[in-house]
Amino acid sequence: MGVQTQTTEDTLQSEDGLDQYLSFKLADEEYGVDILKVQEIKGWEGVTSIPNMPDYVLGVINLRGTVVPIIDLRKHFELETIPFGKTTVVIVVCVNDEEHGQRTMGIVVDAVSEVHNIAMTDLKPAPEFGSACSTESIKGLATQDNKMLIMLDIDHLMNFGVLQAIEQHDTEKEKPAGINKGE
Amino acid sequence: MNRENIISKALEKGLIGENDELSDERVYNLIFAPGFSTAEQISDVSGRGVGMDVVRRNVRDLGGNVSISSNDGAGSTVTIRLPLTLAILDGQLARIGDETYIISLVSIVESLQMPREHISSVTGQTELFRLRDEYVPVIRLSELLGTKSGKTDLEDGLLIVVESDRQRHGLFVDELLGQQQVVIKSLETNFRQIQGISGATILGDGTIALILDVPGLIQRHLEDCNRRQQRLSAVAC
Repeated sequence: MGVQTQTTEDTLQSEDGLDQYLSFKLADEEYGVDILKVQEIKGWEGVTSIPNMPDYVLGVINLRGTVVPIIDLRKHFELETIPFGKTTVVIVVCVNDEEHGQRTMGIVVDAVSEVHNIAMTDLKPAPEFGSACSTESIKGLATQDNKMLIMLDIDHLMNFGVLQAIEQHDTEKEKPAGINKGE
Repeated sequence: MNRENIISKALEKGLIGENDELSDERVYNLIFAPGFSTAEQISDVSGRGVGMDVVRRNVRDLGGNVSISSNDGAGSTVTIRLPLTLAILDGQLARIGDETYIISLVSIVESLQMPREHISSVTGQTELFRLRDEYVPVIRLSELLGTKSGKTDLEDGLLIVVESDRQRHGLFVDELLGQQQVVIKSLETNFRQIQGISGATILGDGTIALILDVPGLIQRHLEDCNRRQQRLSAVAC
């Protein structure tokens, strides 16, 4: 399988300085992801679950011969979960990590909306939310058609938000029982 | 490599005719012929014309091929091509709940049903199965792997006796599904290493089955037992 080398966003910006973002819906919120990171969009077909993972790691799927992990963003952001419907899709993204290199991962979202052209300069910085999503995973907030779009830094969200959270989940399980209250 | 030497040797051995068209590639690959050597003196590791022939035969047996290119005075390159599907495992498919898992046949000693009278427990915690003249600890895979469904009554399922580090353990599964060769796909490429799982494979119908890592599972089971033990003693205090 060919692997495309990842070029930086700067070199691929169009002349008017606009970047393209794919927006998707999660509950009543709209999020945006840099379209250059999106490999494909797949319908939801079911996963093979992986033992002893936090609930937002749904499992893995077979993507034309590659094993790709699928993350449920509703569960990860601690939003209320709904049963998967006709518009539920998996956005397959290629994220970069300095140490590991490229990873292909999938995120389950309620529906994809459209592609927007937004300039980096139009992004307003995100205030401290104190939410399940750390502000480092958010590049900024944009306004499009009177709606607020939360622009995600998908590299950070997957590598730190998700994978590091899994590491912590593992180490917590290993704590001896005495420390856990109410056992 | 010296093209002239090879050609003259090959002519001598009758491997090529006087007027044969000789591309560089063909000339250099002549050295793979059995018994072919341009060495004047035989040492204890070379010169008999056997080595390259053995290499080519072995590589071909593995489903690959080997070739040589050379630039006089600049160096030679030997290229060995082997197919990716060498990461193959002979596995036993087993069903636990709704999921199919794979256990390497190499680790399996035997598989059997457990009659009630041979099952016993120690300190109400560990379950043991009497297998002829030894006691084998039973590991309930559905608990270890967190699968939601799965048989709970030991008599209803099957026990796969595995050996790791010269110690035997029994893995409790619902059903045995068959044996096949599977291609190992890495979980670490796109995700991370998981204790107890050594990889994944794609079955004939496109679904994924996780390949169990027997030593990792046993380790995890022991850790779980210890943790449970500590919890009980903490409560008792």
